[in-house]
This record gives sequence, structure tokens and C-alpha cells, in this order.
Amino acid sequence: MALPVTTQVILGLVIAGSAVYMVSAGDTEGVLEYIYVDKFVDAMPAYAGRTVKVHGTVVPGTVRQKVGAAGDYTFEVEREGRRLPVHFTNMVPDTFAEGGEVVLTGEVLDGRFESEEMAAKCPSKYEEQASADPTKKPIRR
Amino acid sequence: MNGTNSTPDTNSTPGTPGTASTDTRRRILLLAGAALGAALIVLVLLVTVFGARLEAPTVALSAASAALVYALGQLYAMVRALSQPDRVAQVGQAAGSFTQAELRDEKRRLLRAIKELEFDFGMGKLSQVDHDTVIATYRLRAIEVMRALEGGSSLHPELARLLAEREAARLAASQPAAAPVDMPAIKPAAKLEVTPMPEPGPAASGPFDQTTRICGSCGGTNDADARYCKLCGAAMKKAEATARAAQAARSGEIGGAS
Amino acid sequence: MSLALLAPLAGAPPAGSLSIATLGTATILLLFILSLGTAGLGIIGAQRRSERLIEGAVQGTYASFGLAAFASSLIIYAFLSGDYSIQYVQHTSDAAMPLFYKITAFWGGLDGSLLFWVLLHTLFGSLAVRANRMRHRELIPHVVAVLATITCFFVGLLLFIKDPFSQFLLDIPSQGRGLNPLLQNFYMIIHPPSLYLGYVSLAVPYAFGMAALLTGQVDAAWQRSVRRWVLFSWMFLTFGLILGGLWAYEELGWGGYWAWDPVENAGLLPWFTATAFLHSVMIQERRGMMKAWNLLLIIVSFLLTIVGTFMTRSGVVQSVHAFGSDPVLAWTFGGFMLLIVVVSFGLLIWRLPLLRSRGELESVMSREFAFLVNNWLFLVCALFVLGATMWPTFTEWRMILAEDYPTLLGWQNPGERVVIGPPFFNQYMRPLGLALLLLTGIGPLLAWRKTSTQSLVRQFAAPLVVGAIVTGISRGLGLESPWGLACLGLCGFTFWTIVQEFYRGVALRRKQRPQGVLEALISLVLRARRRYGGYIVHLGVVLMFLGWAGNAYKLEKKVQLKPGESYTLGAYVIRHDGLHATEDWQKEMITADIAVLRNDEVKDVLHPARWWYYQLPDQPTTEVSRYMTAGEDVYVSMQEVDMTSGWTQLSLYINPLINWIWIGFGVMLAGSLVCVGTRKSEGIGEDV
Repeated sequence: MALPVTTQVILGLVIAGSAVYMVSAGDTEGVLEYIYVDKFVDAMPAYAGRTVKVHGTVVPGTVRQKVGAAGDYTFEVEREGRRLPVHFTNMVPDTFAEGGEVVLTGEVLDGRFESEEMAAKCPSKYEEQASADPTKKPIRR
Repeated sequence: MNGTNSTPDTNSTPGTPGTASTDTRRRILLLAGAALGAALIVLVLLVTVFGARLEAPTVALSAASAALVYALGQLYAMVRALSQPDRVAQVGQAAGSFTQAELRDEKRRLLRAIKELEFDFGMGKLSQVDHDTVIATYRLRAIEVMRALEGGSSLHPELARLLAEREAARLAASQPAAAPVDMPAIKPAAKLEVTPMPEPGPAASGPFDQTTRICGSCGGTNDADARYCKLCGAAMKKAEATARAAQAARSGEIGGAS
Repeated sequence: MSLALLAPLAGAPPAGSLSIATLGTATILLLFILSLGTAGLGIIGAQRRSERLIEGAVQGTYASFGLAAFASSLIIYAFLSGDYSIQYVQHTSDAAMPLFYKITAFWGGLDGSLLFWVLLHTLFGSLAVRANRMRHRELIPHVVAVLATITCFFVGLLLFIKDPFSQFLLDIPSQGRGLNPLLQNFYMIIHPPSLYLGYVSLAVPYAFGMAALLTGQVDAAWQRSVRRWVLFSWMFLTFGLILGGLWAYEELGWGGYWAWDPVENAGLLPWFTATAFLHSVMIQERRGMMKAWNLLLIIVSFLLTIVGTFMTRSGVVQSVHAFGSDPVLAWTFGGFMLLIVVVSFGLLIWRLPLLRSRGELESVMSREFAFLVNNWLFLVCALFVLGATMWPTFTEWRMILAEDYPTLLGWQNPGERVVIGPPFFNQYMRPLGLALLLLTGIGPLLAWRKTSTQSLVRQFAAPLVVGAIVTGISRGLGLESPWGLACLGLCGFTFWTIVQEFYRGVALRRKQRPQGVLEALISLVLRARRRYGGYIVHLGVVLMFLGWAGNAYKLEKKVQLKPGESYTLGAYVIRHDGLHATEDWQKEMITADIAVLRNDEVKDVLHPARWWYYQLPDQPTTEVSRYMTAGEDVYVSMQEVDMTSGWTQLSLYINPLINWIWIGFGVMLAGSLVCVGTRKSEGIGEDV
């Protein structure tokens, strides 16, 4: 079974090439475009009907929660002055906060971004922003 | 995780006194002891003289002193090593003989390989033919290694017999033996002399040593451009193949030259 | 020693010129010079064959560890004594933190983690050199030089870019910021160090590999000593990875344990190649084949540890738990990686003639071929995960390139940057994983060189039958997913191959000498440690795949319940039995009592909770609660809760077979301990 080295190399390249092709041209579930809010808002019609991820900052004061529903929020995200209204129909992660950065997965419908999946920036151990005042009591929701 | 190095290898380099490793160990213990001692002294000092409480930061400071003492000790050792008179170091390929350690290592590996093969055969994974062929190669080589370790100066009778048989078969078939391996540095008993068991020869030193060739008939070492063996007079052919085969057997591999 | 050093002990801020910070930075500077010198001594000593210079280099390696230990102890002292003039200390600790966390804050931040890396690297370097000084005299000078060069790089980072001892020049704070309470748990103490141990220790085999290439001694037994290092590294990588998964599962509340996040993948990549190496090295020992493969795997493993460090520290890859963005670091690491690639592969190609196989692949039905396929599969896994992890970054670079140089390549639409999520990874890793599981069953049963047809039948008949039976039973139980069925069937197949090996081995042993079954079993394992330890590890792998098979059947639901209400999920009824609020010195808590019923019988009462740390009032944490059985987990986490109305948002999960992952890991660890164990007198006693 000893093939000459050249044959082995060529065979390897052919297999590798076809594998790479298969992977890249294959089913792209799980591969989503990732766009910042400002660019998204500027070119919103271009993304109609596509599931994408948008990255922006939650505008303070815009978060509203529907009472009695398991998870139904509306808020706005912004970046560089462009604002995008969001309707989020799931439970928010622990790290969701006003002024915090979020990445939402969903699509745009009637000018509003409908989303069910959110990633909020993990509290970084290396960029600690929280106030260290231990006397403040948390506000109950 | 670092391999067993419990038995100091006293014969590893010719000329190194056997106390070298014990010397190293003593030095390590001394340094470790000094470091710990310094830590304790600093701890006591801090608590008594400087009035520090006996808690975590104090302990940390004494630990730091221990580390400092160790570091300084090693730096001193480094300077001392650099100021010693120079010696030639064994770097890269070990020219010449295998050391005792390497021979012992190889013996262990060969015996292990034999056991594994027999185990596999017992489990029904290996065919009888394969088993017999390979085991014979291993056993021969193991015997040679063990004789070399014992420093024996005569050929093992079984080895001599096998070689004589092979010599006879070769003369009859006028073709060197195919599957089993030619031992390069063993001179055949047909020479009618008690030949000293040579070390596995300079030809063995390089993985693909180009300066010597091995005779396909008697296994003796010849020059690279030799056309007739200087020991037995046979024409030199298939030199590269036998060199590889010899190397293969030396490393205790299954299948040898095939 | 100036009293200024001791001032923190008495509670006063340090003053005077000689402070911890200065001493620490000086130590790092000295360490940098020392490692440069050691590398030089090693190289020149090898060139000139000077025992004096080589010995100097060896002692320099030990001294590097001493200095690194000293610097580390200084930073720990700074943490313990609360020296907030040092930025790093101030950012990641405060006075109220428990002692343990003050110590572990050492490796919590970027700068400290680099110092921790240096500490471990010099420690392992010293141990490796000490252990192999006599045994591999010929390789030691180059080993020392390579290790010292790596030390030099990391210490250089500390010295020029990320000094952990850098101080506040003005406005020295008197208080620390404190470590995020989310990170103050048991896992934070164990998980990073375990991964670091695994990562850093791969530098040692790499150094030996480079030394072998440099000296041309590629035939020598270097890889056998190195095998134990790789095994050690592999153990800690596995431990660190599993612990990371367990941490995510228990603490984060999203019901899963692996998200294919870049930082997670960074730990996984060298694991693939290290596993391949551990197998492939057996071929080199027995048949002199795959020498180039083994060196390649070692180089790639080390390279992947640097790539992993690069990914997590440079901000090049977006991740929820990366250290943050740092272009200077990115370029420095990039340069180092390029250097490693060029030098290592250059050496490998130069020495390729020496690495020619001495044996030939004779048949497809041979152990050699199985190991070759094994190597390829693991390499493909590593390359795929690496490619998919880096792909988003490449799309981002493509975009930036197109924006900055619109006419450069004349692209019409460079496309968006993309994000690759778990479904993509799972889609391709599933078949790869199952192929590996199959190979785990087949490999050990094949013989060297060629397995006869008769032997094939004898070996594989029973396992195939068992595999088919397991698939049939699973189908009969109503499980449908084809992937799940395939996984279960292969688990059965591979499980039976292992059982068969043990059974036949014991039978063989008893034939050789009369012994009880248990006695035979124990002596079998002890005398063929590597083989049977490996089988135990494979058994652990099978159990983990069993756990993964359960993924195909999991249930997930988000509900909102009031006390008294119930919800049916799968075979269970989840009943809300009330809320209560409590608090302690650190946080306020709201805990729910959730009853889990099956067949109208209360199996367990779970207590998911939500905590608000006073330190972080806007970032509450979720405390998960679960009911664990061998068959599945009932996993509940709480999102929003309102004490006045009682409305509780809950995420409910049923994760079948998930506990077999943790059990399987335990078995793997036990098996690897069997492999690692050696006996003092390595005589002919040890078989394989």
C-alpha cells in the first residue's frame, strides 16, 4: 500500500480541497451575518427577510416589559446615533442592562427588529465597571 | 510525569565519577534547605522584631524570601558552572558505542515487544506466520543486546549456530537471507576464532550513516566505496538495504526490513 | 530590606523608593536578561561542544524558575497585603475578598496570567531538564535553548507590554475594585490553572522535538520520555475542559455545557493533536513509522497553545469571555507564531530525509492504518475547529480591507462579517466524533501489519452484534433521531470491544497461571498498564459519547408560573411551591421551591434562585437547581421574579443521559492515572 509521496500529496490536497468546499458551500445554518446597529439602520432594506445578528448598546430609559408575559420586552439599541427599535420575545440574560452592549439574533419586520436570542456582554473581569459602593441596595424588579 | 530517574546512572559517561549524581542531589537538598531555612528565619524576624501579625501576608513574605534565596543560590550555581574548566560535551549524535543505559533500555524494549506480540497472538490478533517471523528477529536481537550488556567476549552458542546455519543456507542458495535481519557487527563463527562481541559499530551510530557500508553476507563493516568485503571477500551489494535492516532490528521494530 | 516593603503589613500605604512594584519589575528585567543569556549559552555551548557553557545554561534554566517564583510570590504578597498602588492588584481585588480568592486573583487578570504562565513554564523546564540531564545528554543544550527562548518571549511581554507590577503614578487608590462575584467560586480556583498546566507543559515536548530535529537524533528514544509529559498535559487539558463545561452547566443557567465559544475552542485545539500524538507515538516505537507525523503533531500542539493564548488575549476573535482587545499584543503574538511556524516547519522539512519510514503500510486491516486514520481525523477536527473559530475574524478583516482599500481587489461586495454558532460546529463535529468512536472500537482489535480475515471475524463478530442490539432496543424504546441511534449503537459496539479485550486478557492470563478472576484482572491491568489504562480511558470516552447521545433527545421550555401552578414537561410535572427572600452579608436572594413529580410522586424539590450582590446591583445572577439521575437531569433556572405578584420566569430543561459525561470523564481520569503510573524498577515486569 505504499503510494509514492507525490501521489499521496496530491490525493491529500484533493481530499482537503473537496472537504473545504463542502464545508464552505454547505448548509449555512449557524453562520450568520454580524452587523453593527448603525450600518444596519442605514441599510435596513438590504437585510429584509434575512436572519442576522446586530450589535448595539441598549438605550437607557427605553426598556419596557410586558406585564404577565413570560418574556416580552421592547427597547431600543443604538450605535453612533442610529437607533433601532427591538421587540424581544424571550427572557433576557442576567447580564442584560441599560447602557450595556447586546448582540441580538433575529430579523427586521415593519421597521422593528424581532428577536428571540440575545447575548449580553459578560461582565469582564479585566474591565471592571461596577461601582464598589457596598451600601447601595438593589432595586427589586 | 518526568520519567523515573530514581537510580542515578553512574555509568552514563565514561570518566564521570559515580558521585556526580549524588553530588547534584546533595546540592539540591542544600539549596532547598537553605530556602526553607531563610523563610523560617524571615517569618520569625517579622513576627518578633517588626511586630507583624502571624497571618497570610506575613507568610507570603517569608515564602517570597524562600524564593529569593533559591533564585540567588541557582544564580550562584550558574556562575560557578561557567567558571569551571571546560570539557568536551556530548552533543548531537553519540559517536561510537551505545552506552550501558541505552543497551539496558533497548533490552527492556525488546522484551516488552516480545511480550506484547505473544499477548496479541494469545488474543487471536496475530497470525502464526507473522508471530513466528517477528519473534525470531526480536529474540535474536535481545540475545545480542544481553550479551553486550554482560560484556561477554564470545559469541552465544545459539547465535553462533544460527549464523552458521544461515551461512550454510546462503552458500547453498547464493542469496542472502531475506526476512530475518543481518546483524552488522557480528563476525561469523565460521572464522574459527573467538571473536570479541563488538559494540554495534560505528555504522550503527548514524541513522543513515553514509561513511560505511555493511556486507550483506557476513555483516562486517566496510568503507562506503568498497566493492568487496574486506572480511569475507563477498561482493558488496544491497548495502543500503542491510544498513536499514540493521537499524530496524536495533530499534526493536516489528517487521524489520520489510 | 527597606521598611517600606513591610509597610503594608502594618496597614500603611507603602512609601519610599524600594516598593514591591519596583522590586517586582526589577526581577522581571533580570529574568529577561537571564533567559536571553541562557538561550545564548545553550546555543553556543552546543556549537562549541563546551560542557562548561552547557552546564551554565542548565543552571540558568533552574535560576529562571527561581526568579519567576520570586516575582510570583511578590505579586501574591501584594494581593494579600492589599498594595493598591499596583494597578493589577487594585483592579482585581479588594480588602473584603476571602483569602483564597486573593491568591487566585494572581491568575485572574491578563498580566498576572502571563506571569503565571512564565512561572509554570520555567517550573516545567527545570523539571524536564533535571530529569533528562543524564538520559538525553545530547539533546539537552538545544532543549534548554528552545525553552529559554520561549521564556524570553513571555517575559518580554511582561517587561515591555503588560507589566503586572505597573503602578499608579498619581492618585493612589486606597481601595480595590474587587473581583466580580460571579467569578468567586470554586471553579475559578481550579479551571484556569488546570488549563494552564495543560497548555504550558506542551512546551517541553516541543523543545525536545526541536532538539531532536536540530541534532538529527530523530531515532532516539526522546519521544518515549516526552510521551509522559504529553500524557500529563493531556490529563490537565481534559480536566480543565470538562471543568469549564461543568462550570457553565452548573452556574450559567442556559442548560448546556459547551457553546463552541472561541475561548473554549482554544482549549480544545491542542487537546485534539495531543491525543493524536499519544496514539501515534506507539507506531513509531513499534514500527519506526510516522516519525514525521509525530514531530508534526508535537509542533502543531505547541503552536496551538500559542494560538489559543493569542485568541483569548488579543481580542482578535469575538468572544463572551475573552480578555479584551489589545492590538499591540495581537501583533506581538502574531509575530511569535509566525516565527514558530517558519522555524519549526523549516527544520522539519530540512530533516525530512531522516524521518523516512522504516516500515511500510502493508494492509488496510492493520493497526498502523487505523492509527493513520486516527491521526488524520484528529488533525481534521483541529483544523476545522480552528478554521471555523477564525473565520469570523477573517470576514471582518476582509471587510476592513475592502473599506480601506476599495480599489485594491476590485471586490463588488466584500460581504458582512459573520458569526459562526454552535449549529455549524455540531453539524460537522458529529460525524467526525462518531468516526472517532468507531475507530476507538476497531483500532485495538487489529493486529500489527495485517489482520487475517479469520481474526477479523473472531474479533468483530460479538461487538457488531451488541451494537446492532443496542440500536434495535433504542429504536424499540421509541427513540428516533438517526444521529442519536447511530451514537448509541456505536457506543454499544465500542463498549463490547473493550469488554472483550478485558475478558480475553483475563482468560489468557488465567491460562498462563492459575489465578482467581479478580486477581487476574488486577495483575493484567498492572502489568500492561499502558494498554489497559488506555482501554479504561476508552471506556470513559464511550460513556461520554453516551452522554452526548442524550443531546438528541433533550427538552427545553421557558414558562412563567405562580406559586401553586404546574407545568408538564416530558415525563415530569414541575410544580411551583412558593418563593422566599433571604439575604446575607454579600447579597440578597430570592429562592423558589420547585417540586419535581413523576407518576404523581415527588422526586425532589429544587431551589433555583436569583441573587443580587450588593457590589453589582444591576447584574443579578442565576442559581441553577437540578434533579440528577442516571437517566437524565431535570434542570431549572430562574430568570425574572416578582415577590409581590409571585410571577416567576423559569427555564426548564430535561437533559437525558447528561450525567454520563461527568461519569465518563471520571473514568477517563482514572484510566490516565493507570497509564501514568510507573514503577521504580522498570525491569521486564512491565509488558506494554
